[in-house]
Amino acid sequence: MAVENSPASRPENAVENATRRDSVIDHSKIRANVAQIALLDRSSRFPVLLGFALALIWLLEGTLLGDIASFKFDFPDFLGSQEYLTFGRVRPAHLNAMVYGWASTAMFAVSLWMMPRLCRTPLQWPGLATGGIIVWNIGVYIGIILLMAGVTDGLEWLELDNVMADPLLVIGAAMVGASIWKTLAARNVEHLYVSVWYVAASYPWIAIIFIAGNLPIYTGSESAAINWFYGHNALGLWLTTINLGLIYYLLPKIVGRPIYSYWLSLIGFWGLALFYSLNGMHHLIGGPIPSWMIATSITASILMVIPVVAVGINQHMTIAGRFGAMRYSPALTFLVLAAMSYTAVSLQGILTALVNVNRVTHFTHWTIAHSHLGLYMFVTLSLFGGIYYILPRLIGREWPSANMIRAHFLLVGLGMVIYVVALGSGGVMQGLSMLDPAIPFEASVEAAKPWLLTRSFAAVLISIGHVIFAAHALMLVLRGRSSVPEDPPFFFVRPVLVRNDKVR
Amino acid sequence: MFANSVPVILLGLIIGLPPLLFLAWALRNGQFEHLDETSFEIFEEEELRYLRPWEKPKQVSERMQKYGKLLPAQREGWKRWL
Repeated sequence: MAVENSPASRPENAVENATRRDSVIDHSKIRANVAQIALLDRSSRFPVLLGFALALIWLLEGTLLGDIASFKFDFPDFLGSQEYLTFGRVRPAHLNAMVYGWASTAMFAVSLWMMPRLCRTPLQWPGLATGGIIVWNIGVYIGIILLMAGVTDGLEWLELDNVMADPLLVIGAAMVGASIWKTLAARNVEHLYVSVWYVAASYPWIAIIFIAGNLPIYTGSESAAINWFYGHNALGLWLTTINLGLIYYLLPKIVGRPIYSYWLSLIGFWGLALFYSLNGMHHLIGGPIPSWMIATSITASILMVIPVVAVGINQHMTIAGRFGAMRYSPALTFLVLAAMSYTAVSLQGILTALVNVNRVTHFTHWTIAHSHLGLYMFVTLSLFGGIYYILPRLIGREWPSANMIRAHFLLVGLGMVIYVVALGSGGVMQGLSMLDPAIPFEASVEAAKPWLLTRSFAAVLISIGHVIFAAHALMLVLRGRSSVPEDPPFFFVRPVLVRNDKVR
Repeated sequence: MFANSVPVILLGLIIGLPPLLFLAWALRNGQFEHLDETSFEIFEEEELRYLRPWEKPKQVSERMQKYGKLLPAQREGWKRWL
Protein backbone atom coordinates (compact mmCIF):
# COMPACT_ATOMS: atom_id res chain seq x y z
CA MET A 1 0.00 0.00 0.00
CA ALA A 2 2.80 2.33 0.87
CA VAL A 3 4.22 1.91 -2.61
CA GLU A 4 0.85 2.47 -4.30
CA ASN A 5 0.35 5.70 -2.37
CA SER A 6 3.84 7.00 -2.94
CA PRO A 7 4.16 10.30 -4.84
CA ALA A 8 5.90 8.56 -7.72
CA SER A 9 2.93 6.26 -8.37
CA ARG A 10 0.32 9.04 -8.56
CA PRO A 11 -1.11 9.68 -12.04
CA GLU A 12 -0.50 13.44 -11.79
CA ASN A 13 3.21 12.75 -11.48
CA ALA A 14 3.38 10.50 -14.53
CA VAL A 15 4.87 13.16 -16.79
CA GLU A 16 7.49 14.09 -14.22
CA ASN A 17 8.39 10.42 -13.75
CA ALA A 18 8.74 9.97 -17.50
CA THR A 19 10.97 13.02 -17.68
CA ARG A 20 13.20 11.70 -14.95
CA ARG A 21 13.39 8.31 -16.67
CA ASP A 22 14.16 9.93 -20.00
CA SER A 23 16.80 12.07 -18.40
CA VAL A 24 18.74 8.91 -17.65
CA ILE A 25 18.63 8.02 -21.33
CA ASP A 26 19.63 11.24 -23.02
CA HIS A 27 21.17 14.03 -21.06
CA SER A 28 21.67 16.18 -24.12
CA LYS A 29 17.90 16.80 -24.10
CA ILE A 30 17.76 18.19 -20.61
CA ARG A 31 20.36 20.92 -20.85
CA ALA A 32 19.54 23.99 -18.83
CA ASN A 33 19.31 27.32 -20.56
CA VAL A 34 21.14 30.47 -19.52
CA ALA A 35 18.18 31.87 -17.61
CA GLN A 36 17.78 28.70 -15.56
CA ILE A 37 21.47 28.64 -14.70
CA ALA A 38 21.29 32.31 -13.70
CA LEU A 39 18.45 31.44 -11.32
CA LEU A 40 20.53 28.66 -9.78
CA ASP A 41 23.48 31.02 -9.39
CA ARG A 42 21.21 33.54 -7.71
CA SER A 43 20.20 30.97 -5.09
CA SER A 44 23.80 30.59 -3.94
CA ARG A 45 24.98 34.15 -4.62
CA PHE A 46 25.17 35.54 -1.08
CA PRO A 47 27.02 32.69 0.68
CA VAL A 48 29.39 32.33 -2.28
CA LEU A 49 30.27 36.03 -2.34
CA LEU A 50 30.64 36.08 1.44
CA GLY A 51 32.91 33.05 1.28
CA PHE A 52 35.12 34.60 -1.39
CA ALA A 53 35.33 37.92 0.49
CA LEU A 54 36.41 36.27 3.74
CA ALA A 55 38.77 33.94 1.88
CA LEU A 56 40.55 36.87 0.23
CA ILE A 57 41.06 38.55 3.60
CA TRP A 58 42.58 35.30 4.87
CA LEU A 59 44.75 35.06 1.78
CA LEU A 60 46.34 38.42 2.57
CA GLU A 61 46.71 37.70 6.28
CA GLY A 62 48.12 34.23 5.73
CA THR A 63 50.55 35.55 3.12
CA LEU A 64 51.85 38.22 5.51
CA LEU A 65 52.35 35.61 8.23
CA GLY A 66 54.16 33.37 5.73
CA ASP A 67 56.47 36.20 4.69
CA ILE A 68 57.35 36.96 8.30
CA ALA A 69 58.07 33.28 8.97
CA SER A 70 60.20 33.03 5.83
CA PHE A 71 62.32 36.11 6.63
CA LYS A 72 63.04 34.75 10.08
CA PHE A 73 65.18 32.06 8.40
CA ASP A 74 67.29 34.77 6.77
CA PHE A 75 67.30 37.26 9.66
CA PRO A 76 66.69 35.31 12.88
CA ASP A 77 66.21 38.47 14.97
CA PHE A 78 63.59 39.89 12.60
CA LEU A 79 60.54 40.85 14.74
CA GLY A 80 61.91 38.64 17.48
CA SER A 81 61.29 41.04 20.36
CA GLN A 82 57.56 40.32 20.49
CA GLU A 83 56.55 36.87 21.73
CA TYR A 84 53.52 36.65 19.46
CA LEU A 85 55.72 37.17 16.41
CA THR A 86 58.23 34.45 17.19
CA PHE A 87 58.67 31.70 14.60
CA GLY A 88 56.98 29.02 16.72
CA ARG A 89 53.75 31.02 16.64
CA VAL A 90 53.88 32.75 13.27
CA ARG A 91 54.59 29.62 11.25
CA PRO A 92 51.57 27.57 12.50
CA ALA A 93 49.44 30.73 12.27
CA HIS A 94 50.45 31.00 8.58
CA LEU A 95 49.60 27.34 7.93
CA ASN A 96 46.22 27.51 9.67
CA ALA A 97 45.30 30.83 8.07
CA MET A 98 46.00 29.43 4.61
CA VAL A 99 44.45 25.97 5.07
CA TYR A 100 41.38 26.79 7.16
CA GLY A 101 41.00 30.49 6.45
CA TRP A 102 41.81 30.95 2.78
CA ALA A 103 41.51 27.54 1.12
CA SER A 104 38.65 26.04 3.13
CA THR A 105 36.50 29.18 3.07
CA ALA A 106 37.02 29.57 -0.68
CA MET A 107 36.21 25.88 -1.10
CA PHE A 108 32.94 26.35 0.79
CA ALA A 109 32.07 29.08 -1.71
CA VAL A 110 33.12 27.02 -4.72
CA SER A 111 31.13 23.97 -3.63
CA LEU A 112 28.05 26.06 -2.81
CA TRP A 113 28.24 27.54 -6.33
CA MET A 114 28.77 24.23 -8.11
CA MET A 115 26.19 22.05 -6.37
CA PRO A 116 23.02 23.89 -7.49
CA ARG A 117 24.31 23.91 -11.08
CA LEU A 118 25.23 20.23 -11.01
CA CYS A 119 22.05 19.14 -9.23
CA ARG A 120 19.86 21.50 -11.29
CA THR A 121 18.11 22.74 -8.21
CA PRO A 122 18.40 25.95 -6.17
CA LEU A 123 20.74 25.88 -3.21
CA GLN A 124 18.87 24.46 -0.24
CA TRP A 125 19.19 26.12 3.15
CA PRO A 126 21.34 29.04 1.90
CA GLY A 127 20.93 30.79 5.27
CA LEU A 128 22.40 27.78 7.02
CA ALA A 129 25.33 27.75 4.60
CA THR A 130 25.92 31.46 5.23
CA GLY A 131 25.80 30.89 8.97
CA GLY A 132 28.18 27.97 8.59
CA ILE A 133 30.75 30.10 6.78
CA ILE A 134 30.50 32.77 9.49
CA VAL A 135 30.79 30.28 12.37
CA TRP A 136 33.77 28.57 10.68
CA ASN A 137 35.57 31.88 10.21
CA ILE A 138 34.94 32.99 13.79
CA GLY A 139 36.45 29.68 14.88
CA VAL A 140 39.53 30.19 12.71
CA TYR A 141 39.99 33.76 13.98
CA ILE A 142 39.73 32.68 17.61
CA GLY A 143 42.10 29.79 16.97
CA ILE A 144 44.75 31.93 15.29
CA ILE A 145 44.57 34.68 17.89
CA LEU A 146 45.05 32.03 20.56
CA LEU A 147 47.88 30.49 18.53
CA MET A 148 49.69 33.81 18.43
CA ALA A 149 49.07 34.21 22.16
CA GLY A 150 50.82 30.90 22.70
CA VAL A 151 47.80 28.58 23.09
CA THR A 152 48.24 25.58 20.81
CA ASP A 153 47.34 21.91 20.72
CA GLY A 154 50.89 21.24 19.56
CA LEU A 155 50.04 18.88 16.70
CA GLU A 156 50.85 19.78 13.11
CA TRP A 157 47.76 20.88 11.15
CA LEU A 158 45.79 20.54 14.40
CA GLU A 159 47.25 23.47 16.31
CA LEU A 160 43.96 25.36 16.72
CA ASP A 161 42.64 25.15 20.27
CA ASN A 162 40.36 22.15 20.64
CA VAL A 163 38.11 23.85 23.21
CA MET A 164 37.65 27.40 21.92
CA ALA A 165 38.16 27.03 18.17
CA ASP A 166 37.72 23.46 16.93
CA PRO A 167 34.04 23.04 17.96
CA LEU A 168 33.18 26.16 15.94
CA LEU A 169 34.97 24.72 12.91
CA VAL A 170 33.06 21.44 13.22
CA ILE A 171 29.71 23.24 13.59
CA GLY A 172 30.50 25.59 10.69
CA ALA A 173 31.52 22.79 8.32
CA ALA A 174 28.47 20.74 9.37
CA MET A 175 26.16 23.68 8.56
CA VAL A 176 27.67 24.18 5.10
CA GLY A 177 27.71 20.41 4.56
CA ALA A 178 24.03 20.15 5.52
CA SER A 179 23.19 22.71 2.83
CA ILE A 180 25.29 20.78 0.28
CA TRP A 181 23.68 17.43 1.10
CA LYS A 182 20.17 18.88 1.22
CA THR A 183 20.79 20.30 -2.27
CA LEU A 184 22.02 16.88 -3.37
CA ALA A 185 18.88 15.26 -1.96
CA ALA A 186 16.68 17.76 -3.85
CA ARG A 187 18.48 17.22 -7.18
CA ASN A 188 16.66 17.13 -10.48
CA VAL A 189 19.11 14.84 -12.23
CA GLU A 190 19.47 11.10 -11.90
CA HIS A 191 23.14 10.78 -12.75
CA LEU A 192 25.66 12.37 -10.46
CA TYR A 193 28.42 14.11 -12.40
CA VAL A 194 31.87 13.24 -11.03
CA SER A 195 32.24 16.69 -9.43
CA VAL A 196 29.17 15.96 -7.30
CA TRP A 197 30.82 12.83 -5.95
CA TYR A 198 33.97 14.76 -5.08
CA VAL A 199 32.18 17.68 -3.42
CA ALA A 200 29.52 15.73 -1.54
CA ALA A 201 32.03 13.20 -0.18
CA SER A 202 34.37 15.93 1.07
CA TYR A 203 32.04 17.17 3.83
CA PRO A 204 31.53 13.95 5.81
CA TRP A 205 35.21 13.15 5.31
CA ILE A 206 36.46 16.44 6.78
CA ALA A 207 33.99 16.16 9.66
CA ILE A 208 35.14 12.64 10.56
CA ILE A 209 38.88 13.24 10.27
CA PHE A 210 38.76 16.63 11.99
CA ILE A 211 36.78 15.33 14.98
CA ALA A 212 38.90 12.17 15.19
CA GLY A 213 42.15 14.12 14.93
CA ASN A 214 41.17 16.54 17.68
CA LEU A 215 39.93 14.06 20.28
CA PRO A 216 42.16 14.58 23.33
CA ILE A 217 42.46 10.86 24.08
CA TYR A 218 45.64 9.82 22.29
CA THR A 219 49.07 9.57 23.79
CA GLY A 220 52.61 8.88 22.58
CA SER A 221 53.11 7.26 19.20
CA GLU A 222 49.36 6.72 18.87
CA SER A 223 48.97 10.49 18.91
CA ALA A 224 51.56 10.85 16.14
CA ALA A 225 49.77 8.21 14.05
CA ILE A 226 46.41 9.95 14.43
CA ASN A 227 48.06 13.31 13.76
CA TRP A 228 49.28 12.16 10.34
CA PHE A 229 46.12 10.22 9.67
CA TYR A 230 44.45 13.62 9.92
CA GLY A 231 47.14 15.70 8.21
CA HIS A 232 47.37 13.61 5.10
CA ASN A 233 43.65 13.02 4.79
CA ALA A 234 42.95 16.73 5.20
CA LEU A 235 45.01 17.19 2.06
CA GLY A 236 43.64 14.20 0.13
CA LEU A 237 40.02 13.98 1.26
CA TRP A 238 39.26 17.68 1.65
CA LEU A 239 41.60 20.09 -0.12
CA THR A 240 42.13 17.77 -3.11
CA THR A 241 38.60 16.58 -3.62
CA ILE A 242 36.74 19.87 -3.94
CA ASN A 243 39.42 21.28 -6.23
CA LEU A 244 39.39 18.21 -8.47
CA GLY A 245 35.61 18.57 -8.60
CA LEU A 246 36.05 22.20 -9.64
CA ILE A 247 38.58 21.32 -12.36
CA TYR A 248 36.36 18.52 -13.71
CA TYR A 249 33.52 21.02 -13.93
CA LEU A 250 35.23 24.07 -15.39
CA LEU A 251 37.86 22.57 -17.68
CA PRO A 252 35.35 21.01 -20.13
CA LYS A 253 33.06 24.04 -19.98
CA ILE A 254 35.75 26.54 -20.91
CA VAL A 255 37.40 24.38 -23.57
CA GLY A 256 34.01 23.43 -24.96
CA ARG A 257 34.28 19.65 -25.04
CA PRO A 258 33.28 16.99 -22.54
CA ILE A 259 35.83 15.31 -20.34
CA TYR A 260 38.01 12.92 -22.38
CA SER A 261 36.89 9.78 -20.56
CA TYR A 262 34.13 9.93 -18.02
CA TRP A 263 34.96 6.37 -17.04
CA LEU A 264 38.52 7.39 -16.09
CA SER A 265 37.16 10.24 -13.99
CA LEU A 266 35.12 7.75 -11.97
CA ILE A 267 38.17 5.51 -11.54
CA GLY A 268 40.02 8.56 -10.24
CA PHE A 269 37.33 9.31 -7.67
CA TRP A 270 36.73 5.78 -6.43
CA GLY A 271 40.45 5.02 -6.34
CA LEU A 272 40.97 8.05 -4.11
CA ALA A 273 37.98 7.19 -1.93
CA LEU A 274 39.07 3.61 -1.35
CA PHE A 275 42.86 3.88 -1.10
CA TYR A 276 43.68 7.33 0.20
CA SER A 277 42.76 7.10 3.88
CA LEU A 278 45.68 4.75 4.68
CA ASN A 279 48.38 7.00 3.24
CA GLY A 280 49.19 9.21 6.22
CA MET A 281 51.48 6.82 8.08
CA HIS A 282 54.21 7.25 5.48
CA HIS A 283 55.03 10.50 7.28
CA LEU A 284 56.25 8.37 10.18
CA ILE A 285 58.71 6.15 8.31
CA GLY A 286 61.43 5.32 10.81
CA GLY A 287 59.20 6.33 13.72
CA PRO A 288 58.17 4.18 16.70
CA ILE A 289 54.97 2.75 15.22
CA PRO A 290 54.25 -0.82 14.07
CA SER A 291 56.07 -1.75 10.86
CA TRP A 292 52.90 -3.25 9.36
CA MET A 293 51.30 0.17 9.59
CA ILE A 294 54.16 1.79 7.68
CA ALA A 295 54.16 -1.03 5.10
CA THR A 296 50.40 -0.73 4.60
CA SER A 297 50.72 3.01 4.17
CA ILE A 298 53.52 2.73 1.61
CA THR A 299 51.48 0.13 -0.31
CA ALA A 300 48.41 2.39 -0.27
CA SER A 301 50.58 5.31 -1.37
CA ILE A 302 51.87 3.32 -4.36
CA LEU A 303 48.29 2.26 -5.20
CA MET A 304 47.49 5.95 -5.51
CA VAL A 305 49.34 5.84 -8.83
CA ILE A 306 46.12 4.44 -10.33
CA PRO A 307 43.75 7.33 -9.53
CA VAL A 308 46.46 9.97 -9.97
CA VAL A 309 47.44 8.76 -13.44
CA ALA A 310 43.77 8.34 -14.34
CA VAL A 311 43.06 11.96 -13.39
CA GLY A 312 46.25 13.22 -15.07
CA ILE A 313 45.61 11.45 -18.38
CA ASN A 314 41.98 12.48 -18.38
CA GLN A 315 42.61 16.16 -17.76
CA HIS A 316 45.53 16.30 -20.19
CA MET A 317 43.57 14.61 -22.98
CA THR A 318 40.62 16.95 -22.42
CA ILE A 319 42.74 20.00 -23.18
CA ALA A 320 45.19 18.36 -25.59
CA GLY A 321 45.30 20.31 -28.86
CA ARG A 322 43.59 23.27 -27.23
CA PHE A 323 46.30 24.69 -25.00
CA GLY A 324 45.96 27.92 -26.99
CA ALA A 325 42.77 28.51 -25.05
CA MET A 326 44.93 29.40 -22.06
CA ARG A 327 45.89 32.65 -23.82
CA TYR A 328 42.26 33.73 -23.67
CA SER A 329 41.02 32.51 -20.35
CA PRO A 330 42.82 33.24 -17.08
CA ALA A 331 40.48 30.82 -15.34
CA LEU A 332 41.57 28.04 -17.66
CA THR A 333 45.24 28.97 -17.31
CA PHE A 334 45.13 28.67 -13.54
CA LEU A 335 43.06 25.48 -13.67
CA VAL A 336 45.39 23.76 -16.15
CA LEU A 337 48.44 24.64 -14.06
CA ALA A 338 46.62 23.39 -10.98
CA ALA A 339 45.72 20.12 -12.71
CA MET A 340 49.32 19.60 -13.80
CA SER A 341 50.52 20.38 -10.29
CA TYR A 342 48.10 17.81 -8.86
CA THR A 343 49.67 15.09 -10.96
CA ALA A 344 53.19 16.33 -10.16
CA VAL A 345 52.69 16.64 -6.41
CA SER A 346 50.90 13.31 -6.17
CA LEU A 347 53.65 11.44 -8.01
CA GLN A 348 56.23 13.31 -5.93
CA GLY A 349 54.35 12.28 -2.78
CA ILE A 350 54.29 8.63 -3.86
CA LEU A 351 58.07 8.76 -4.44
CA THR A 352 58.59 10.43 -1.07
CA ALA A 353 56.70 7.57 0.57
CA LEU A 354 59.41 5.15 -0.56
CA VAL A 355 61.85 4.46 2.27
CA ASN A 356 65.02 5.23 0.29
CA VAL A 357 63.74 8.61 -0.86
CA ASN A 358 62.19 9.43 2.50
CA ARG A 359 65.53 8.82 4.22
CA VAL A 360 66.99 11.77 2.29
CA THR A 361 64.05 14.17 2.21
CA HIS A 362 62.54 13.75 5.69
CA PHE A 363 63.30 16.62 8.10
CA THR A 364 64.50 18.86 5.24
CA HIS A 365 63.17 21.88 3.36
CA TRP A 366 62.11 19.47 0.59
CA THR A 367 58.97 18.78 2.62
CA ILE A 368 58.06 22.48 2.57
CA ALA A 369 58.60 22.62 -1.20
CA HIS A 370 56.43 19.51 -1.60
CA SER A 371 53.62 20.87 0.57
CA HIS A 372 53.64 24.19 -1.32
CA LEU A 373 53.51 22.37 -4.64
CA GLY A 374 50.33 20.73 -3.36
CA LEU A 375 48.74 23.43 -1.26
CA TYR A 376 49.66 26.33 -3.47
CA MET A 377 50.28 25.24 -7.04
CA PHE A 378 47.39 22.80 -6.98
CA VAL A 379 44.88 24.03 -4.41
CA THR A 380 45.40 27.80 -4.50
CA LEU A 381 45.85 28.09 -8.28
CA SER A 382 42.71 26.01 -8.75
CA LEU A 383 40.80 28.36 -6.44
CA PHE A 384 42.18 31.40 -8.30
CA GLY A 385 40.87 29.84 -11.52
CA GLY A 386 37.50 29.22 -9.90
CA ILE A 387 37.25 32.79 -8.62
CA TYR A 388 38.19 34.21 -12.05
CA TYR A 389 35.34 32.21 -13.57
CA ILE A 390 32.70 32.56 -10.87
CA LEU A 391 32.94 36.17 -9.65
CA PRO A 392 32.01 37.89 -12.95
CA ARG A 393 28.95 35.64 -13.22
CA LEU A 394 27.75 36.51 -9.73
CA ILE A 395 28.62 40.21 -9.86
CA GLY A 396 27.30 40.62 -13.40
CA ARG A 397 30.32 42.28 -15.00
CA GLU A 398 33.75 41.39 -16.26
CA TRP A 399 37.08 41.79 -14.50
CA PRO A 400 38.11 45.43 -15.00
CA SER A 401 41.77 45.04 -15.94
CA ALA A 402 43.52 42.49 -18.13
CA ASN A 403 46.87 43.93 -17.01
CA MET A 404 46.13 43.14 -13.38
CA ILE A 405 45.24 39.56 -14.34
CA ARG A 406 48.54 39.22 -16.23
CA ALA A 407 50.49 40.70 -13.31
CA HIS A 408 48.78 38.37 -10.85
CA PHE A 409 49.43 35.31 -12.96
CA LEU A 410 53.06 36.14 -13.74
CA LEU A 411 53.94 37.04 -10.14
CA VAL A 412 52.40 34.03 -8.45
CA GLY A 413 53.46 31.63 -11.23
CA LEU A 414 57.06 32.81 -11.35
CA GLY A 415 57.24 33.16 -7.58
CA MET A 416 56.01 29.66 -6.98
CA VAL A 417 58.33 28.05 -9.53
CA ILE A 418 61.30 29.80 -7.87
CA TYR A 419 59.98 28.76 -4.45
CA VAL A 420 59.55 25.07 -5.25
CA VAL A 421 62.78 24.71 -7.23
CA ALA A 422 64.84 26.56 -4.59
CA LEU A 423 63.51 24.73 -1.57
CA GLY A 424 63.31 21.38 -3.39
CA SER A 425 66.95 21.52 -4.53
CA GLY A 426 68.14 22.96 -1.23
CA GLY A 427 66.18 20.32 0.66
CA VAL A 428 67.77 17.40 -1.19
CA MET A 429 71.26 18.85 -0.66
CA GLN A 430 70.45 19.45 2.99
CA GLY A 431 69.26 15.84 3.36
CA LEU A 432 72.36 14.40 1.69
CA SER A 433 74.57 16.54 3.95
CA MET A 434 72.75 15.37 7.05
CA LEU A 435 73.18 11.72 6.04
CA ASP A 436 76.94 12.13 5.63
CA PRO A 437 78.58 11.59 9.03
CA ALA A 438 81.67 13.46 7.83
CA ILE A 439 79.74 16.71 7.40
CA PRO A 440 78.85 18.58 10.59
CA PHE A 441 75.20 19.54 11.04
CA GLU A 442 76.09 23.23 11.00
CA ALA A 443 77.42 22.86 7.44
CA SER A 444 74.04 21.56 6.25
CA VAL A 445 72.39 24.64 7.79
CA GLU A 446 74.91 26.97 6.12
CA ALA A 447 74.37 25.25 2.76
CA ALA A 448 70.62 25.84 2.99
CA LYS A 449 70.91 29.61 3.56
CA PRO A 450 71.04 30.76 -0.11
CA TRP A 451 68.03 28.60 -0.91
CA LEU A 452 66.10 30.05 2.00
CA LEU A 453 66.90 33.60 0.89
CA THR A 454 65.70 32.69 -2.61
CA ARG A 455 62.50 31.36 -1.05
CA SER A 456 61.95 34.68 0.74
CA PHE A 457 62.41 36.54 -2.55
CA ALA A 458 59.84 34.23 -4.17
CA ALA A 459 57.49 34.80 -1.24
CA VAL A 460 57.62 38.56 -1.83
CA LEU A 461 56.73 38.08 -5.51
CA ILE A 462 53.80 35.88 -4.54
CA SER A 463 52.65 38.39 -1.91
CA ILE A 464 52.60 41.23 -4.45
CA GLY A 465 50.56 38.98 -6.75
CA HIS A 466 48.06 38.36 -3.95
CA VAL A 467 47.70 42.08 -3.20
CA ILE A 468 47.04 42.76 -6.89
CA PHE A 469 44.47 39.94 -7.04
CA ALA A 470 42.63 41.12 -3.93
CA ALA A 471 42.67 44.75 -5.14
CA HIS A 472 41.35 43.62 -8.52
CA ALA A 473 38.52 41.66 -6.91
CA LEU A 474 37.65 44.75 -4.85
CA MET A 475 37.64 46.87 -8.02
CA LEU A 476 35.31 44.37 -9.68
CA VAL A 477 32.86 44.56 -6.81
CA LEU A 478 33.00 48.34 -6.32
CA ARG A 479 32.73 49.43 -9.93
CA GLY A 480 29.15 50.14 -10.84
CA ARG A 481 27.57 48.75 -13.95
CA SER A 482 27.71 52.13 -15.65
CA SER A 483 31.44 52.33 -15.15
CA VAL A 484 32.14 49.13 -17.03
CA PRO A 485 34.44 50.07 -19.91
CA GLU A 486 32.97 50.18 -23.40
CA ASP A 487 35.32 47.40 -24.46
CA PRO A 488 35.85 45.17 -21.44
CA PRO A 489 39.05 43.15 -21.72
CA PHE A 490 37.25 39.94 -22.53
CA PHE A 491 34.59 41.28 -24.87
CA PHE A 492 36.66 41.35 -27.99
CA VAL A 493 37.94 37.85 -28.06
CA ARG A 494 41.64 38.29 -27.81
CA PRO A 495 44.46 36.81 -25.81
CA VAL A 496 44.50 38.03 -22.24
CA LEU A 497 47.77 36.74 -20.93
CA VAL A 498 49.79 37.38 -24.09
CA ARG A 499 49.50 40.66 -25.92
CA ASN A 500 48.38 40.26 -29.51
CA ASP A 501 46.67 43.34 -30.88
CA LYS A 502 46.14 41.77 -34.29
CA VAL A 503 43.55 39.42 -32.91
CA ARG A 504 40.18 41.08 -32.71
CA MET B 1 51.86 -2.03 19.95
CA PHE B 2 48.69 -3.53 18.49
CA ALA B 3 46.57 -1.82 21.14
CA ASN B 4 48.03 1.51 20.00
CA SER B 5 47.04 0.69 16.42
CA VAL B 6 43.34 0.18 17.16
CA PRO B 7 42.28 3.84 16.70
CA VAL B 8 44.01 4.00 13.32
CA ILE B 9 42.40 0.73 12.20
CA LEU B 10 38.98 1.94 13.34
CA LEU B 11 39.38 5.31 11.64
CA GLY B 12 40.60 3.62 8.46
CA LEU B 13 37.42 1.55 8.45
CA ILE B 14 35.18 4.55 9.23
CA ILE B 15 36.67 6.43 6.29
CA GLY B 16 37.02 3.46 3.95
CA LEU B 17 33.81 1.47 4.40
CA PRO B 18 31.18 4.12 3.53
CA PRO B 19 32.70 4.61 0.06
CA LEU B 20 32.29 0.87 -0.49
CA LEU B 21 28.60 1.15 0.43
CA PHE B 22 28.15 4.18 -1.81
CA LEU B 23 29.96 2.33 -4.60
CA ALA B 24 27.45 -0.52 -4.26
CA TRP B 25 24.61 2.04 -4.31
CA ALA B 26 26.08 3.69 -7.40
CA LEU B 27 26.35 0.36 -9.20
CA ARG B 28 22.78 -0.61 -8.33
CA ASN B 29 21.39 2.77 -9.35
CA GLY B 30 22.90 2.96 -12.80
CA GLN B 31 25.52 5.59 -12.02
CA PHE B 32 27.99 3.69 -14.21
CA GLU B 33 25.65 3.56 -17.18
CA HIS B 34 25.26 6.14 -19.96
CA LEU B 35 28.66 7.57 -19.09
CA ASP B 36 29.08 9.58 -22.28
CA GLU B 37 25.71 11.24 -21.78
CA THR B 38 26.58 12.10 -18.19
CA SER B 39 29.72 13.88 -19.32
CA PHE B 40 27.49 16.28 -21.30
CA GLU B 41 25.35 17.07 -18.27
CA ILE B 42 27.40 20.14 -17.27
CA PHE B 43 26.86 22.03 -20.52
CA GLU B 44 24.20 24.64 -20.90
CA GLU B 45 21.96 24.93 -23.90
CA GLU B 46 24.03 25.82 -26.99
CA GLU B 47 27.17 26.14 -24.87
CA LEU B 48 28.98 23.74 -27.18
CA ARG B 49 27.93 25.64 -30.30
CA TYR B 50 29.85 28.80 -29.49
CA LEU B 51 32.83 29.47 -31.67
CA ARG B 52 36.09 29.18 -29.77
CA PRO B 53 38.68 31.49 -31.33
CA TRP B 54 41.63 29.28 -30.46
CA GLU B 55 40.34 26.25 -32.35
CA LYS B 56 42.02 25.05 -35.52
CA PRO B 57 39.88 24.72 -38.68
CA LYS B 58 39.69 20.95 -38.23
CA GLN B 59 38.48 21.35 -34.66
CA VAL B 60 35.90 23.90 -35.78
CA SER B 61 34.54 21.54 -38.44
CA GLU B 62 34.43 18.71 -35.90
CA ARG B 63 32.41 20.90 -33.59
CA MET B 64 30.04 21.83 -36.42
CA GLN B 65 29.54 18.19 -37.33
CA LYS B 66 28.72 17.26 -33.76
CA TYR B 67 26.66 20.22 -32.59
CA GLY B 68 25.42 22.01 -35.71
CA LYS B 69 26.11 25.46 -37.09
CA LEU B 70 28.33 27.43 -34.76
CA LEU B 71 27.23 30.66 -33.11
CA PRO B 72 29.48 33.71 -33.38
CA ALA B 73 30.75 35.43 -30.26
CA GLN B 74 28.09 38.10 -29.84
CA ARG B 75 28.33 41.02 -27.46
CA GLU B 76 28.21 39.57 -23.96
CA GLY B 77 28.91 36.25 -25.61
CA TRP B 78 32.08 35.86 -23.58
CA LYS B 79 30.01 34.87 -20.61
CA ARG B 80 29.05 31.63 -22.24
CA TRP B 81 32.45 30.06 -22.38
CA LEU B 82 35.25 32.25 -21.05
